[in-house]
Amino acid sequence: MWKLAWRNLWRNRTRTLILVSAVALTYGMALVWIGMSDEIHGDMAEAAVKTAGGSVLIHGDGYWDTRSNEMLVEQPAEVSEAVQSVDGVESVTQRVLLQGLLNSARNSNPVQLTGLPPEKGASIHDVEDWVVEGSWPDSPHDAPIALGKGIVESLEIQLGDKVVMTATAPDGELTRALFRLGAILDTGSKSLNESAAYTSLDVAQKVMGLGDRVTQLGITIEDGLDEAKMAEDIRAAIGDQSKAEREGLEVLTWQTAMPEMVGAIELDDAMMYVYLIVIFLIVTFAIANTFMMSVMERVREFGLFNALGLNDRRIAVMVLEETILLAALAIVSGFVLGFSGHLIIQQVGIDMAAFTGGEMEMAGVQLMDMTITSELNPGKWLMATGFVFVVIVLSALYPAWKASRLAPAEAMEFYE
Amino acid sequence: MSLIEVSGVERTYRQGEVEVHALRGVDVTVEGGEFSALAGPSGSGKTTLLNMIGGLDSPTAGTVDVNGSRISDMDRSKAADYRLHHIGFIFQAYNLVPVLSAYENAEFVMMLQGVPKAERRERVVPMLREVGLEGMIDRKPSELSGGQQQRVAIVRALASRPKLILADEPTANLDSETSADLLDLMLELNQEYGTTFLFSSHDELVLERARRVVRLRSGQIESDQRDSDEQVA
Ligand SMILES: Nc1ncnc2c1ncn2[C@@H]1O[C@H](COP(=O)(O)OP(=O)(O)OP(=O)(O)O)[C@@H](O)[C@H]1O
Ligand SMILES: [Mg+2]
Repeated sequence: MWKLAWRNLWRNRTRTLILVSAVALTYGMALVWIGMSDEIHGDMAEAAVKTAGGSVLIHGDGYWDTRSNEMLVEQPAEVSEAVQSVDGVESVTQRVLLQGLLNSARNSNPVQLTGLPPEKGASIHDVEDWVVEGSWPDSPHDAPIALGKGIVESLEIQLGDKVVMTATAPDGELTRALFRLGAILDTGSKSLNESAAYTSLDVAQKVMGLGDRVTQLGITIEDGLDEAKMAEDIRAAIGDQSKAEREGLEVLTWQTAMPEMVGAIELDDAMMYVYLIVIFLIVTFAIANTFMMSVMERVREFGLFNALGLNDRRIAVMVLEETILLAALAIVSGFVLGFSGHLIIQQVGIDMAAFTGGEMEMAGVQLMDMTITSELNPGKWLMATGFVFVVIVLSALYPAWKASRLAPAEAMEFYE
Repeated sequence: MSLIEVSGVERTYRQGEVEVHALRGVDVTVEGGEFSALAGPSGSGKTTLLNMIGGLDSPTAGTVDVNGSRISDMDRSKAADYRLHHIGFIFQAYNLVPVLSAYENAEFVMMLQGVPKAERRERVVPMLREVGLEGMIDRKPSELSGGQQQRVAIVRALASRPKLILADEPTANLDSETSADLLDLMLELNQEYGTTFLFSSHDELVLERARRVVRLRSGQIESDQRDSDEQVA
């Protein structure tokens, strides 16, 4: 009977080809779209992790909401050691984060000063890659500072010039610290260029009188691990080491730290699925309509089948077999289209900078990676494929039922 | 028990306000092995009666039994299953599935019955040869003449070895010579396999070949004559 279904499918070659290409195109596009948005969402998550400072973060309790210079991690070395012993933890970076005002002889500019340990990769951002003038992290100065070029412009300073940072120290006193400009940075983001300042962890601790205390432990974890689960494990590990310490700490995942980003990703995802479902509803109607036409054209034949002894169920199955073949054809060609599209976009990439004028910000996070490529997520693709298949077969249910209900005697009327 | 027992069958069609009485109380029995014809003017109810016997339509009143089964009480699917195994149909035209070759059409019913491929071939190929279709078995219906198409339909009906073959004006689209040939063929097969044939026609040339002619007029039996020699025109 599959042979019969196959031949019936090709009776109206043009119509079948149009239908197959329409479904294949829609399905292929859906695959490319899913691939691209998965990649964008991956980029968004990555940017959020960078902005937050790690996949999992440890701060003095309440720091993240207040960004207060006074909330610190008291014994970072011990905590860090405890965290490092957790399975799946890749790295733990101690950072000092200070909000303050930077003054030059002429001007002042609010900044967030990040104190980073000297090893490369200590920052999730590669500060040394951003250097446009000067040298970093090595510097001839005792208390070097690297500033975004926007700050440098507004302060009207040059390499080697003095700047003074005014900030609240942990004891609540307003403290001034002297730095010399060691490097000028171009972060690729206008707002970061206007607010980002870096120095070494030692210097930051010393000038602000922090001792060995830090603001943040930024934790990176192995790919594919669940952040919430890791945060759980990390909390437990800290608890084991020093219960007292744990009282004064908050352990956040990047998702809890940046809920707007999570919301943006989820919304974008949901929108995509709504669009896809609407598109496929339209496709469903087109298929149902075409199949209805092809059934009505064959009224006489279905009457003949019934007279020959095909019962209702077998006639319906026959129509469904045609649909299944159509779906298979459309899915195979659509997959070829979609997969090629995915590969091309993955190789070439689409430069979003051209569309957005070089800046893209989402939920307060600067997207650094402005080139959209594509990411293959087998689970989602499989789901989309199953969905398309089911949609096509569903759309043929009514025509199939109709075909099986055609009264044989009435169908025979066509003879006379 | 007779092969076909039609008793008190009425069929009324409704067309809006108008009621059409296609059959008004028909009683007829057909024995196994008969080669019989239904005659009568257009609109007399021949097709309606054949459809009743084949379970393609249900009577408004009365009963139809075929081979001891009450086909008039079966639902659509039951009737279809019953036809598949017991009744062959030959229509006036459009008998064949256009996308299947002559051979595939001929084996179609057997395929539905689940007869193995080899056996289907064994049965169909000699029969197609017998009806003069050798060398044409791979042709599509559109590449066959009307008479050749009807032969394929006859082979299809016979090959599945039903008790009964119902043929509604099988020769209506054919010239008289081809009609005569086809009737001879049906008669031959009737004798060879003992298959019961009941066909309708208003062609007297065709009716001459029947062993029994049942004449209908306005949905009622007008006459029932056995032995073709005594037939009156
Ligand atoms: N589906 C239907 N709806 C309404 N009336 C019908 C229907 N089928 C048949 N009839 C009517 O029933 C009567 C008998 O029709 P039937 O087709 O049985 O005649 P017939 O003897 O086969 O005629 P012909 O020789 O033209 O084929 C006719 O008056 C016809 O118009
Ligand atoms: Mg008729």
